[in-house]
Amino acid sequence: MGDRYRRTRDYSSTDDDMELMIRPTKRRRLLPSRVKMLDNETAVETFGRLMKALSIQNGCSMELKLEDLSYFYNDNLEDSKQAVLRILASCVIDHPAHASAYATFVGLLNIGNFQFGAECVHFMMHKLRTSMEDNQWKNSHGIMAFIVELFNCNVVTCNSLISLLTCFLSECVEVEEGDEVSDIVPQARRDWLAFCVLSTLPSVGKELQQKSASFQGLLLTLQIYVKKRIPLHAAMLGIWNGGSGCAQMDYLDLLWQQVERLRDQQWLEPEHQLLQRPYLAFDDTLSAALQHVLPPLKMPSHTQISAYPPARVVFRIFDFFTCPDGLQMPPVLSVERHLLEVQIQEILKVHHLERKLCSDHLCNYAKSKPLMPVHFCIVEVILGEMLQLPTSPWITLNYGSILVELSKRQPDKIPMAVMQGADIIYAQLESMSVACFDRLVNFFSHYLSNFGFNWHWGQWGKGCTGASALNSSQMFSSGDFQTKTVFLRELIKKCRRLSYHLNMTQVLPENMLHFLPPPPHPQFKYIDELVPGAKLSQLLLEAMRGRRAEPTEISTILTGSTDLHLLKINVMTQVCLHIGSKSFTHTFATLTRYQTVFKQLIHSESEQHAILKGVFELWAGNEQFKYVVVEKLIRMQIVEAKYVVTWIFAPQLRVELTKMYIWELLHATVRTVKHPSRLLPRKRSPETVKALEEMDDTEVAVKGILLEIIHRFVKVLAGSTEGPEGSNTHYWCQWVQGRMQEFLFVYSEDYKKMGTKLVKISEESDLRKGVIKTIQAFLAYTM
Amino acid sequence: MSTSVDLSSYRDQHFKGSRSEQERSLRDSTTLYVGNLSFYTTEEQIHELFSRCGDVRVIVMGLDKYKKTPCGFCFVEYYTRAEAEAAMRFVNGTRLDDRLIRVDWDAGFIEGRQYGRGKTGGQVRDEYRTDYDAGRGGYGKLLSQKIAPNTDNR
Repeated sequence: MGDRYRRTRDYSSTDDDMELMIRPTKRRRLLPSRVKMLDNETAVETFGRLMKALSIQNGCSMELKLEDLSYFYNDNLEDSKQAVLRILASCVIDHPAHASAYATFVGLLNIGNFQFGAECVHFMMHKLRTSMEDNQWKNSHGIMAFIVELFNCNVVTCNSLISLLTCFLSECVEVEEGDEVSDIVPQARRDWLAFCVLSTLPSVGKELQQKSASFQGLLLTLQIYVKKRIPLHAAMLGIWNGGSGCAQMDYLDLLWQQVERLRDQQWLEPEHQLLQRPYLAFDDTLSAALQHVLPPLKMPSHTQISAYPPARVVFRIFDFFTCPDGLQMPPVLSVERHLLEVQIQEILKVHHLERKLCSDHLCNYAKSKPLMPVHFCIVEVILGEMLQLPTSPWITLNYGSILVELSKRQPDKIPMAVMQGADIIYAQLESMSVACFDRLVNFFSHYLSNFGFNWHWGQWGKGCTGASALNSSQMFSSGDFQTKTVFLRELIKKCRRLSYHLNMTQVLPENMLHFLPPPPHPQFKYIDELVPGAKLSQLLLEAMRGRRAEPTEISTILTGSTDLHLLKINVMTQVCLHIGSKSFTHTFATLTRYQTVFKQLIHSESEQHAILKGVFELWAGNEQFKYVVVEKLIRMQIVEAKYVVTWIFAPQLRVELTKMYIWELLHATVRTVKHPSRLLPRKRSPETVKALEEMDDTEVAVKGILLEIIHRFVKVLAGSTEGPEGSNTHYWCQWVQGRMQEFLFVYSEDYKKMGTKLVKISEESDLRKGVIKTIQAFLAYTM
Repeated sequence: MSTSVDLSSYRDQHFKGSRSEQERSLRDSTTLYVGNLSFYTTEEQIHELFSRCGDVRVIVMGLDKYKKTPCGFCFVEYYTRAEAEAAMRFVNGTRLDDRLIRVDWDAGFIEGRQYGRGKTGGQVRDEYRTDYDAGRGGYGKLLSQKIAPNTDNR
């Protein structure tokens, strides 16, 4: 075995190695472990901390850290083996990109303590199996990466590792059509198994190729599997639809190509030390170790309740990209690109909740790779996760706050990368999925608001011929619904919501001002005495404003009026909103004061639509008020959620469907059904809240409203002619269809349970083709 | 190690109850205090920013005790602790209206707390400030009285 590590020395001979050769004479210990024995509990806690630190780039030598850890273990922890193994497992699960460091630690212990090595191997194999049984697929991926690295550290034998990999791939072996296995085992499971094996190959491929004759067969199995599989989900989950300049690939296809290229280069060591191999520094020591045979894995089989990690499409904006500072992004098909992404993703996953810490770690990581444009890759990974379909792992603001923080820390690098990324996305907007439109607008408006809305607006405005800020009453001209026009319009409105009208007029250049709607003031039409209802409005205004009339008095005035019932509702609504128009608080106060009056007036659908019409008329120029006031009316139980849905899809709101706020409102409406405890009255105990939200009634109501929404989508789309490409009607149909897909994505857990109902809808006769395709693709993806 | 959702060192001196009761309410609270706002920042802007962390239950604007105009702070209440934590994490220390705003746990809004506690009606910090802050009425109240005693009677 001795020559193994000596040979692998040629992977890299780094400064670190040199440092190690010099150091022993004047070694500075990181720990006082030899000085003082710690009590058990403190020792375990310290060990946990040090193990976590192995995944952190902080300038300390990895070798020193590893040596210290093994001394620390021998001095303090021999009796706490189970605790140590548990900590080890949690580390390898959280930090799969650092599996080699953890494996080296075990390798070092295994030399003097064969028993520990044996226990570790058995513990991890057990953990691998149980995590798969429990559907903890991400965990088993981390453990698998660790076990493979154990081979690199001379802890496990080559043959037993090959057996394990073969066992993983056994379900991917080509099956004849109609064969039972392919019927029962879903592709998601086989994809995941293949992914687990494939992702370990960059670090272990070379050794296995040299040592095992069966490795070729394994690669062949993978190749055939990947080439033959049909990634049906790719079209649906891609952020870019066909025709975009940005290449995007199914994650498994891409990884295969990256590994295949690596194999064709005789497993050339990835550049820039993207693969950590801390064990190389200990090769003499490790080569003396005895190895263990991995016990055979009894693979848990697929069951009815198994759920697998969803397939992904890899997001790319910086293809064939040379960064402004002359650094070259690793080519898309290089394994370097994959490794870079994986390591950035891991930092994000572990630290995303603490934006400052996360930024520190990302900056340190970038610093450790000065010859690579890591900043660009960080921006690409963050934007990619934020826009990910069907949904992003965390809220948009989480990603935005990290990018803002990074921009503050590295003002010469990150803002430029964000700018380039945004420019590329903007150029490709036409082919971007509607389902991530809102996330992009929300992110970007927030990002700009943190930097004084400073942007090269003029340049963006140039290519955009689309006309004015749309009012629902206006006729719209061609180009109004063009994606870029819609995007700029919505972006500028969102910026204004975070800022104020006057500021936007100062920030925007002349050629962009037409995107800014008029100041968002209320429009009280009953000021005109000739409008029907004006007289009643005068009486109400005078009573409410002049003498703060009681609800009973208002009811009397309304009863005394000879106006039609629906007109009365409209007048009453507009008067209340007009009086409260100063702020949300003022509006809510007025509505609350006269809540009983509204409840007497309003029961049926048409009556509820009348109050909504009142809101939309008075606040025609202020989308945020429309959305917030209607949501409040639902919470006050003056209006029912189901009638807000029918209102939104009513013919008179056709143009409004091209705007973001209406979807904001629709989502908020669904949330009120999902969380009935949030309806007034105010305070409820946590127990009542839980009981309310877990009620069967709630589930039925949620299903009801979500199904109703799909029905409405189908109906509104069926009633529209699509028109030629480039026409407003074409854009409109594409957009609304994209919104339907967004709903399926956001509430996929609920829609999954309504599979048969969705199938039924998709089989209706007069459906638009795109609608059928969207529903069917969703069903194929989730079932 | 400290995290963004830990309690800060600030304690409201007007809290009715013991220090440990206060800390318990802070730990369970879904209400946030938001400070260092511009006097011109509106409830609508605050709603826009904070609703990106979750559904906002209520916003109470901080007002000058005498003039009843915004005086640079507010309370934001969410439905759940998780939503409030998101605001602590992702909004605290970021910009609104070009100002770095402060977000901190609050034990819960009680009527009367919406008013500034300074002698002149605004927040105490705006009385002792020595810098010029256009978003918060220029110089601190005490200083501006010294500088221009005759022009402050508008």
